[in-house]
Amino acid sequence: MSDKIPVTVLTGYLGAGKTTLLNRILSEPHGKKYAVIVNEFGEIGIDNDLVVGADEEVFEMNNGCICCTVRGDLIRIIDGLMKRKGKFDAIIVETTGLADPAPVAQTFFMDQDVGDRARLDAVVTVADAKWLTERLKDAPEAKNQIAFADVIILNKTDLVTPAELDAVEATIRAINPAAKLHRTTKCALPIADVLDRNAFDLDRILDIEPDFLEEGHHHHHAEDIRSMSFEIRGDVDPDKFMPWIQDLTQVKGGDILRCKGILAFRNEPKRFVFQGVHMILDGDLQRDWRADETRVSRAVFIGRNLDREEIKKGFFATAA
Amino acid sequence: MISLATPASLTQHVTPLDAGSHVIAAAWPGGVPALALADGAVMLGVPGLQRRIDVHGGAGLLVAASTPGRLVTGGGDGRVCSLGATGEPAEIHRDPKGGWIDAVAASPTGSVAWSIGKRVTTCDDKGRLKTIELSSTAQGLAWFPKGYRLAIAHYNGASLWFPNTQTPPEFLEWKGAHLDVSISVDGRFVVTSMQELALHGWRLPSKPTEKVAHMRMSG
Ligand SMILES: [Zn+2]
Repeated sequence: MSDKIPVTVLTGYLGAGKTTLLNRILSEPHGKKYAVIVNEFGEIGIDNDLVVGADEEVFEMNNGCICCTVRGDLIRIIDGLMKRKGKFDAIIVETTGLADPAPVAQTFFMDQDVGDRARLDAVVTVADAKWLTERLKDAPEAKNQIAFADVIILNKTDLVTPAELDAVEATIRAINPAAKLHRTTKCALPIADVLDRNAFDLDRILDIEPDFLEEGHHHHHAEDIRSMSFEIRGDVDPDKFMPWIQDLTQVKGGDILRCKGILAFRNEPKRFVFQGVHMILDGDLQRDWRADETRVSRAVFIGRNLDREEIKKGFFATAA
Repeated sequence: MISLATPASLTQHVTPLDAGSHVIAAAWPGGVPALALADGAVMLGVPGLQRRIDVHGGAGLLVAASTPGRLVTGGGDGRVCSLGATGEPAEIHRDPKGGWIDAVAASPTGSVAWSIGKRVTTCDDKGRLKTIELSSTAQGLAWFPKGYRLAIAHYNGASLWFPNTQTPPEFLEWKGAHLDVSISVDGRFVVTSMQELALHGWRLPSKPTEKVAHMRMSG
């Protein structure tokens, strides 16, 4: 998998500072060459043969399910870029403020050619500290972008008071407790915090903060997107867990934006790590549980209209 | 003793070539071997006497189509070029915004077609340009045998267009993403490849009383 080209997806609602971040990535002297897939030519101030315009065309797959989608333009562009492999080190996909990140992420799992040659490194969402709370009320896209993020850049922090900043961070955490969050002004942060995160690499999937488990969970009922995380102190039975998670994602896939988890399987020395986007699930046995680690099984679900009690009951029933 | 002649192996006639870049297409414009390369060049000529002709530069060569007479290429520089046996590239078109050429098709009758996103343009043998805008990206193009009608593969079907008439394209509907298209030599069948592992075919009516018939080929 190491020879796959890493792809960073840059999302964020209009005006949050995506272009600022992109220009910083492209102009800083890091010795790397990026192919950039953008929506508007001319917004980035870099002359580069590898800047490509995209139209964000979403294809529904022919299985009749509206959550099973891919980005047709991305498939075509990545195919074109990969024929010139060696001319760049990584790909950055910039999406418009109105784009849903799900089809972008699903493309890497559903299109075999893309999945064989490129890997989704991380979904990076730039959020505007001053306006995010408003946007979350009126723009479903803004919520999806927060829910999907592996890395959240809470930008323009200089335009709000410390109390407002804490409040907006709490709102973000209610939607997505598992993302890495950076507070910035003018998107000033080390580029290494944004690129080559391996956030989708199952072995390095972000450890779920215990603070956000059950009791420590923030209840922001105003949000229709909720996150829920559960922990079983001990092992789960794979013969119970696998059918349960497959059934859950088949039935509720349209409402589950993302799920992630690290599980201790009975009689299994290695950690089982899984993640999903809507109905698509990917999971694998990764490194051994270390001697200093307690074998616990944790899962996070982020989505709309999810019945917390039902999912909790289902997950706990898989305990070994 | 009867001696049996050793059968000639095909491999004795094979000359390996290192193209040095991803090969987009192989063609024989004017009977000369040509390789269209992703690095933007065309490698032309018989082994040992090849020339590299830079056609699209660093922006890369993305798509190519050929006829017995020429190789037509489309690049990341928004240019469509034609190259014959002499190796002198001629620019057929240059997109002012430099968008990627997504698909290209060439007819032996001299017509060329290309697309950038939802916009499809044709150029006939007299250099006349015609353009249409589709509701989704044109993924694949193919000329009918006579070079008057163009098939366009796109989301949810294919469109058949006569560029020299005012008639809107005929829409062949089939749900899903159609990636490329080809036409049977008799012009009666249109077949597309799809994002799902499937082909879809349409049999066009040969008389007014007939209807379009579908062929589903999944695999
Ligand atoms: Zn689905």
